[in-house]
Amino acid sequence: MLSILYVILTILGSIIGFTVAPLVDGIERKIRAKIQNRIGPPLIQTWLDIAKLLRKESLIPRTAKALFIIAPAIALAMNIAALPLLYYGAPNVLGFYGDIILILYLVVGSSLILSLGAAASGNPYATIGFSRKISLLIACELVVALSIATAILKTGSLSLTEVILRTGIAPSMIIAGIALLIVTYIESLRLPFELTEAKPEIMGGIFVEYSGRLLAFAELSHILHRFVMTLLSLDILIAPLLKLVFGVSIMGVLMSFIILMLISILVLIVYGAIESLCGRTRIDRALIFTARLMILPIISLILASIGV
Amino acid sequence: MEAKFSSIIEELENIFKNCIIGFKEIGGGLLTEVKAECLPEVASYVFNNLRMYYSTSSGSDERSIDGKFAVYHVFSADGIGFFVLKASVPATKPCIPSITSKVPGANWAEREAMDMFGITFINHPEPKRLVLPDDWPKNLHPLRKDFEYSYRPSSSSEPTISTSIDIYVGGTEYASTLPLGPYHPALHEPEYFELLIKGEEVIDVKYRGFHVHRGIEKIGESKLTYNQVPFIAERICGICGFAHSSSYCIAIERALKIDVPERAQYIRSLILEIERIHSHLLWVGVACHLLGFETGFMQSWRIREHVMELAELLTGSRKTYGINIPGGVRRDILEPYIDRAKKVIKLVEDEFKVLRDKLLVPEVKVRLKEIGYLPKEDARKLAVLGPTMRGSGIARDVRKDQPYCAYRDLDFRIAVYDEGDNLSRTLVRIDEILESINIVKQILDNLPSGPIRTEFEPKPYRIGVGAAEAPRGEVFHLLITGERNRLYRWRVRAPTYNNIPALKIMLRGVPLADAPITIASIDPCFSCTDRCILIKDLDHNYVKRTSLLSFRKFIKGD
Amino acid sequence: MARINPPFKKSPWIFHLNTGGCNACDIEILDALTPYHDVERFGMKLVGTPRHADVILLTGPITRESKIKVIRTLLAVPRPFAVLAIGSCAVGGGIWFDSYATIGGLPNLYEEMRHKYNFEPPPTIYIPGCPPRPEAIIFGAAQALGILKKKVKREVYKED
Repeated sequence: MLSILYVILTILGSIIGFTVAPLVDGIERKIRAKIQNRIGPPLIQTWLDIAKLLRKESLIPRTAKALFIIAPAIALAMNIAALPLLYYGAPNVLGFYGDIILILYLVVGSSLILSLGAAASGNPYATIGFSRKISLLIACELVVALSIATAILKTGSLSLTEVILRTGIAPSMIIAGIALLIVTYIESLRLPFELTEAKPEIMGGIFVEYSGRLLAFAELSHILHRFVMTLLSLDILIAPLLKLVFGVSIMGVLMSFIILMLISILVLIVYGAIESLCGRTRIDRALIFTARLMILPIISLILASIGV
Repeated sequence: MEAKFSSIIEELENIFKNCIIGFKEIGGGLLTEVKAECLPEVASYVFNNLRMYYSTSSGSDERSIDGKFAVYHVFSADGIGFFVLKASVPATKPCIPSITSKVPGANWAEREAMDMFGITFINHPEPKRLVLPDDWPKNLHPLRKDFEYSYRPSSSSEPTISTSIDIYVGGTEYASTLPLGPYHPALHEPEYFELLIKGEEVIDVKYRGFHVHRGIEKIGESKLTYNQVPFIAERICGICGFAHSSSYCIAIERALKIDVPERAQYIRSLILEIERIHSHLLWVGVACHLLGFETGFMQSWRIREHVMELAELLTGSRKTYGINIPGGVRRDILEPYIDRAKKVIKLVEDEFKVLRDKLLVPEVKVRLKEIGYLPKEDARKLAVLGPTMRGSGIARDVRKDQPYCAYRDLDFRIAVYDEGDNLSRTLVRIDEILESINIVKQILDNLPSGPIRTEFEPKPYRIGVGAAEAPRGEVFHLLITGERNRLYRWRVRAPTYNNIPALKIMLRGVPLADAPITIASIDPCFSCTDRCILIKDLDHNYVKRTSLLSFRKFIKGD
Repeated sequence: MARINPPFKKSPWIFHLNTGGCNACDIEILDALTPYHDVERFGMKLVGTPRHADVILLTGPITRESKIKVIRTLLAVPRPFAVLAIGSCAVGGGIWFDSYATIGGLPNLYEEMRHKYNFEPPPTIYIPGCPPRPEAIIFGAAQALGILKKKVKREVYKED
């Protein structure tokens, strides 16, 4: 009985994640507009954008390679595949031993394939966007990998559910979670780290040649990626605490499900508000910042190895 | 006028006894006619020894007067007036020595005369086409008097866009050209930059401009009368158009010796300052936008909206005011409006001060500091103008050096910063907004009463020069009056014309991320960098229109 | 005049194409984006590349130098899209309608593109004014999106 609830919650969480992530983007835009003394677009604007793009023609430059066309779809598929593997407050029955590694692959792979596809368009702006994204990706994913390595080291398990269920309140996990949360901000390409699109500099960067459906897929997978990353870092940071407080009874998992979803939406909104107060930085500065961030997961790794 | 120039005349007469043909007083300065072969030496002496600031050059087709082509080189003798060098050559052999090697700033103006009049400049370093499109037929020169202004010749070749995108320099390391442009809308200054980049660093920059060459000078010379020209002059630029129409009016008033009523002078100054405030606020917003700081952009445009309202209140239009006319202005400022204007300007001042403190935070300063460096000596050599010049430590301002309108009576200071980087150009503009607010307040307090316009009698073949300090720098108009109430020659020089060549120095070695803000730091126009267009692939031959179903076909390579 | 109902009615992404205008129209377009008029409430967003565009805001009389670039840009926009010709220059060439350096407005360009490139002109709204006020631009955009109906009828002058 309980395991059916677990499955339902996981699927429900995935569906909510899929629908709400673009809505949250709309809320962000609304908040940004309010900070700028404007009315702003309707909340469902991002969905409207995607719906429109799906109905438009896709142009493919002659110079483009096949990867250009399949990359957005693959990236979207990878992000959708990552959704039901995450922890939504209930033990993830769909999970399996080693799923944490798969999540890592999907998260890194989706942004990698998107930028590879952009580079395959043969457009110099996209190429610059690609080179920036790769530099940023290497720095960021190192932090992600180290943080997840902390979790694995601390609990000795390769399953996300087991990692969460086994840890209590551990300083190493909290530090790793914080590092993940910060790196989520950088990796979701928000200002001041919005370097790969940077409209005034490289006019949309990696997205420059995409149009129509391909752009819709690329946009959607970009937005989903934000959600997946946010939820993953909250899984490491907050889920063990929720499990301690509420347990795994029916009411407990429902409560932790709701709280986890609300917090992840809240985090996304707060990120959106921070974004509107920032200007764009330069790639060299962004890399230095990310490199400094590396100290956090290293500390957490050391702590985890001594068992704290 | 000649009395003020007496020491210069004496000096030149002593040194260049055999070169100088004569001196003549013109509206706004002194005309010195020299023999064509002596032009470079005299120009070099004036520029390097007398330390006059180069302004611009102009060709002229004077075959119907004396059967010759003439070239005018204009220098500014600060505090005295404009110093114009003229040399003419017979129409049969239009060859004139170039002064570009002595006065580097003259490069573009000479090339333009080459295009428009077919005058050959001997020893010019890069005698290439500048203004006319690539497909324009050779030996057809639009500003010659025998060219009909509405004649549209067919292309001499298929129009192409000359860019090469990727220049691979072996292995993985490559330099590539990145197009940045191509549109930019002041008179002669649309921009299409090709940045040669290596990794993320700009190593060189090429430029193709003049997409917005609309033939204004030709229309002004052939179609319009004196009183119609201010309106087309205002449409040279939608942002600083009033500076253009004012400086045209000043030139013609000086040429025909018209006494403009004091009230009209004050009204002109008032509108010029309002224009400066709105233009600089626009620039601040755009600079924020280029730095990715959208909130700053929105807030500064929100403040700017009050200024637009003020302009509408005083002139009847938000932009392109259309109130200038030779001899005065067309629209008076009514008494009740003055109080409202005072309130608006107070509001703008308060809100802008708040914005300024929020903008100049360390994160923004870091992005601007020590980027786009322009040394003082280069600035003088290339004759850059406006905030670009004052950001490099040259304290010049037409409002002080060649006073026009009501500026002689007004109290203001020139904002100068010595560093020569993007930050100092930004600070100059921010200071100028506050200074302009101060000037507007003074004018609103002391607006003299009286008529706003005076009639005048046109006389042919008088030369006049007029300059006004537009937000981007000195706008310069040189004109020769003609018969039938029309201009014989009208030369317009917008400040960006002189400023763009300096970008070559400013952009070198700048990270790509800072290239747009560096280009914008001369304030060419806000939207050019926003309108980056990638030219490659946009040909319809290179694009497949396809639906999702045919993707498989594409992948297979059909 | 039937109301048009394009797919981008709720989310028109605009691309700003200056073809040799004096800037006045361009800053009024930008003005429409800023807090006072805020067209983002209609979902409008300024994009940096014609590939993403639904509505092209065309200003300027189309100079000889920029003509080929304008043509290529228009061909690079995914269909369906609409064009707003903003300002007297774009509508009919304005004060430079017969100058040697321009081709005199958007209709002339369409004529040429129809012949040379077999290009069927997209729905086009003409917004006169020098420059048009931001309100006029928003009104024109609303017509192009089918939010508002056209209030004027086309009439062709015939000599009796």
